Amino acid sequence: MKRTGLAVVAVALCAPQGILAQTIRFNFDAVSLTYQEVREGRSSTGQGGGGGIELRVGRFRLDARAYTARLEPDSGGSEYDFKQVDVRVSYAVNKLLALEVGGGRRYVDPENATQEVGLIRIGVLSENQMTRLADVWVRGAYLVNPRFSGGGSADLAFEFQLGVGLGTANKRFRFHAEYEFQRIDREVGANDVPIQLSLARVGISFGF
Amino acid sequence: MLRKLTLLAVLLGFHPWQAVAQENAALRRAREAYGALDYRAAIAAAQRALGQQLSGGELVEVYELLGFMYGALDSSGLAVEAFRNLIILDPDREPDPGRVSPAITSLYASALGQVLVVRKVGIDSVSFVQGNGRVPLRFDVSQPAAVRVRAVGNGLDLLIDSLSAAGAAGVFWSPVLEDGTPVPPGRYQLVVEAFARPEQYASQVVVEVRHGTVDTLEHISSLPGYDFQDEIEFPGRNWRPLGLAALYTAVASAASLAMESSGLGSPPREEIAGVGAAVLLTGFIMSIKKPDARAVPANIRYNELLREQITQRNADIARQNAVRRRQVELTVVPVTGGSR
Repeated sequence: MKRTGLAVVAVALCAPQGILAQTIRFNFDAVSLTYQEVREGRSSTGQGGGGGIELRVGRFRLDARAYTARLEPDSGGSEYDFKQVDVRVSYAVNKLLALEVGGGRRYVDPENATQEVGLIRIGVLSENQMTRLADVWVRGAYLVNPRFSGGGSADLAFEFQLGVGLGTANKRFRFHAEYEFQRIDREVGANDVPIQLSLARVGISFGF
Repeated sequence: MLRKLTLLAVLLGFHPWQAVAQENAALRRAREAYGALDYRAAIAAAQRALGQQLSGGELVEVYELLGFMYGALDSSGLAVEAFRNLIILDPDREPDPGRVSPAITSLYASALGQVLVVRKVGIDSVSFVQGNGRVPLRFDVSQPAAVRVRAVGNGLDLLIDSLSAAGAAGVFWSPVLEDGTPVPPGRYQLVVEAFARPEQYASQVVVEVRHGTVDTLEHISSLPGYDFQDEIEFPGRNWRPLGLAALYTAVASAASLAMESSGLGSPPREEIAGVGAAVLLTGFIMSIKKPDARAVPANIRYNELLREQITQRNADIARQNAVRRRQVELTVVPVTGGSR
């Protein structure tokens, strides 16, 4: 994960000046999440931090986010580290709607604490400027053929997100809050072992 | 008191005893007899005066009295003869129709038709920028005649115009030289010569030509009747931000509820509740805060056009001022008139 994050930052910093012509924004987040899997009552909660980079060039937008959290199972047991990296690339079809593709990778430490997941997402993003200072957005995506460290498959997997941003008129500083929900109906053999993630993220970003 | 008045008269150059001593006695008697309606005595006195040495003004007065008295006595031929002499001596002196009888006025007109004179030569004071004005010169020719008008002075003798005229006439003088430059400042005689063979007559008016600088135009910062418009406006407060926040929050909340996995039970809702509240609060604050100023494209375009117009006008004014600084304002004023 560390390598992926470094790669994203490296790409952003080493990209030709023309590509960075429009907006580049760095995010620093605090996250709180609830992770549920397999059956009712088996859930973990925890907090952590993360960061990311957002790059806008013309109609294109690149979002790369990562976070890590220390989760504690509600039913007792050992705590574990939960790490997630998401990359999204969107293309604005019009002022309100953008098509989005991307990928994600989830790591846990220790490895057998829960499932590690790899996924590809295809979705839409709707962002709306409330005023010059604030905007609100929702995004939803279908997760294509997620892969799990413990095997299995998921025919139905999706995620959506609600977010709000409030900052200065020159877009340099911005506070944001996001809610993210992810459901993956994992099956192993004939058994349903679903995964559900509910995450809140608040943070600050600096743009140039 | 009398001493003081006498002293003042001396200082002013007026010598009443000399004036009394110089006035022709016969003319005085003629004037007194005319006032007493004793025309024959007046005529006799006037005739005696003609035999004596008279000043120009006295001679004119004698002929005028003779014209009036012969007219009163119905001696038309003699009256016309007297008036002819009067006209030749002083063409601009004519009987006041309000004070003398129409018969006498008619006799004067008859005399005027028998001599060639140019009368009532004059101009009004006029001021204009070189090349943009002319000096109107008016005169009256007593008989049909060929008229030539010249401007003479400062070593110049310029033909102003030549024409055939009878009665009231006029010409315009453009006081510039052939190359377009104004005539030098100074005094000029505007001479009106009339020719009707075998007679000829000339009269003149002396004018003074002055040079001055032409006023330049001030640059403008606005156009009358066209005001600059506000390029930004503050729209009225509206609840769109809160509406958007509510819409997006509702969509997310509904999706969250609808898509929860039944096999995992109800998830905790602190995350969606917290973020949803943040979204709604942001929308509410954005709705109640003073709306951002927004540009008014139509007004911006209007102001651009207005500025372009003002810039163009100022460029025109600058060009005009450059020309005006090279120009001369000519002022022509009459000084004296005369005839010969």
